[in-house]
Amino acid sequence: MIFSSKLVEDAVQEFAKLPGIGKKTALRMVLQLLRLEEGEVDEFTGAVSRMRHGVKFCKECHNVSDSEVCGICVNNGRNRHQICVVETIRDVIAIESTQQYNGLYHVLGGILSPLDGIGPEQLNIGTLHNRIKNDDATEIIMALSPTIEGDTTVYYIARQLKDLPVTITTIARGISFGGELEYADEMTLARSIAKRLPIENYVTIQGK
Amino acid sequence: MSPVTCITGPNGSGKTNLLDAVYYLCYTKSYFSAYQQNSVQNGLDGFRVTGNFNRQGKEESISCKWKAGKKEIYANDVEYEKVTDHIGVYSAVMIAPDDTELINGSSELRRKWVDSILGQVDKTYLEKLMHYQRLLLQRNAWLKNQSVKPSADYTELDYYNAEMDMDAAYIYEQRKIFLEQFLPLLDNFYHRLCGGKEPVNVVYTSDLSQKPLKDWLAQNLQHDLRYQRTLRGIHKDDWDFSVNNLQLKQFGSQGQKKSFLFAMKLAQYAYLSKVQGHLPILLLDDIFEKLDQSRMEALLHIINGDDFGQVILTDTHPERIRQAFGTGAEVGYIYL
Ligand SMILES: [Zn+2]
Repeated sequence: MIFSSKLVEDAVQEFAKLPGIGKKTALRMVLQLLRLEEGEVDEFTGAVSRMRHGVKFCKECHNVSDSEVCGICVNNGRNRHQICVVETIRDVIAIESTQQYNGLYHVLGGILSPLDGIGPEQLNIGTLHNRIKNDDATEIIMALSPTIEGDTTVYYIARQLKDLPVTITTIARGISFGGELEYADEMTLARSIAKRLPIENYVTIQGK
Repeated sequence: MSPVTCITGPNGSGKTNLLDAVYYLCYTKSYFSAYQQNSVQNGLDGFRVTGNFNRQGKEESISCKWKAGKKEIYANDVEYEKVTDHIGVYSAVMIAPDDTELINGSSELRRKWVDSILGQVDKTYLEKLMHYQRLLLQRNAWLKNQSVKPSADYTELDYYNAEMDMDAAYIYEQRKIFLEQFLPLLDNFYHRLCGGKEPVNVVYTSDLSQKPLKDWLAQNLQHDLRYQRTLRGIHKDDWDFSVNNLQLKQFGSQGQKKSFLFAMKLAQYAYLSKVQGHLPILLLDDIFEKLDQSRMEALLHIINGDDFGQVILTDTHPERIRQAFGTGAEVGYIYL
């Protein structure tokens, strides 16, 4: 792609960094922005910039938030005895939209995968341990992808928590082998949460 | 007499590609190219293969699309949810000139061959094998990461070991049972092809014949850490072929190897038809010019029997095929 303007080229490069956006689509987006008034473009870039600078990660559950503690964690109407452990923020959004779950969350920020260089120290596992020790949680619901990496993470966390007085359950496997939680439709997800199983049905935890 | 189709035409006209297309629709992968990308014509970003199959009197159109790294399989225009659901619905056995690699080449080829047979008759085998292979990749990556940044936390390793042990135990058992059923078939075809009474044998060698994988993994950890990979397991299994109590790879003649290979493929055919309850399609790629008269006659006699079904073959000389099958035989020709 040859550009007559370095400014346009730079903008295309930036859009093309986004997932699923190729050079052609990026160019289309840039051309659209060129058609807008300068002020409208400022609004656009301003929102993106403010989002990145202003966003916080909840110090309790690591969900995105506008304040130190997120809206879910401060909400007194939610069941504080349940913590649902998920891989990413997208999973929180997916489960919230089922409107079937009223407990709290814990966002790990990934799942264990040595192939991708992700070990326990990269994930928010230590803070989960502290939360359970200090707070009122009695049930931990593991809602991770039914993959080897998800299963490894479930096993790892279960081992970490084995001395704490909590019940660990996993969401029912309505989701097919190799499936991603994110792609499960809301009905399947809602059913999976309703029909969760004790972890012993799922992995054997040594020393328990 | 079963239907025989001969694809003929000059070299480079795409005879083998057509044969491979039939194989592709059965297994959603090429028999010849290990990498899917090779199947794509230069400059294009995908391809599509479609074929009409007839199963238990019902016609079914199977389509396989491959686009931008993603594979989709359709039966009568309805997409399969999982590609693996299609495996085993239709089956085919290919015999091609370079197949002696199965005897002369590395153990990986023999594992792939056995896995391709067991994977299509046993879904659990296929799933456990895929599971094991992914665990192996993760375990090896874990070992490698340990050398860069050692950690005293072995929890992940415990998980990989326990899961791999369960998968390996099943795979080892199935591979053992398979050989018990396969060996008599192989022996039978070998002697029907080349007469004689020389004993043929296959010995399955596996680390698991000594102790369970979990013991190997536990006891071998220091080795594994030093080499940064998993040294023991069913991913190291092999099969030793012998004729007359002599190792075929090292001491076998070209003729013995060729007969052994054909007998293996015919035994594969017989095994699949017995377990699946239907006859696979036999695909013969340019094999008649490589065979002497007596073996060719023996082979034709076998594949013309009731235990064999549809045959599709390629040959540059339709005359040779006409002669081989005799004037009474009904052979369809496709000229490319
Ligand atoms: Zn929170």
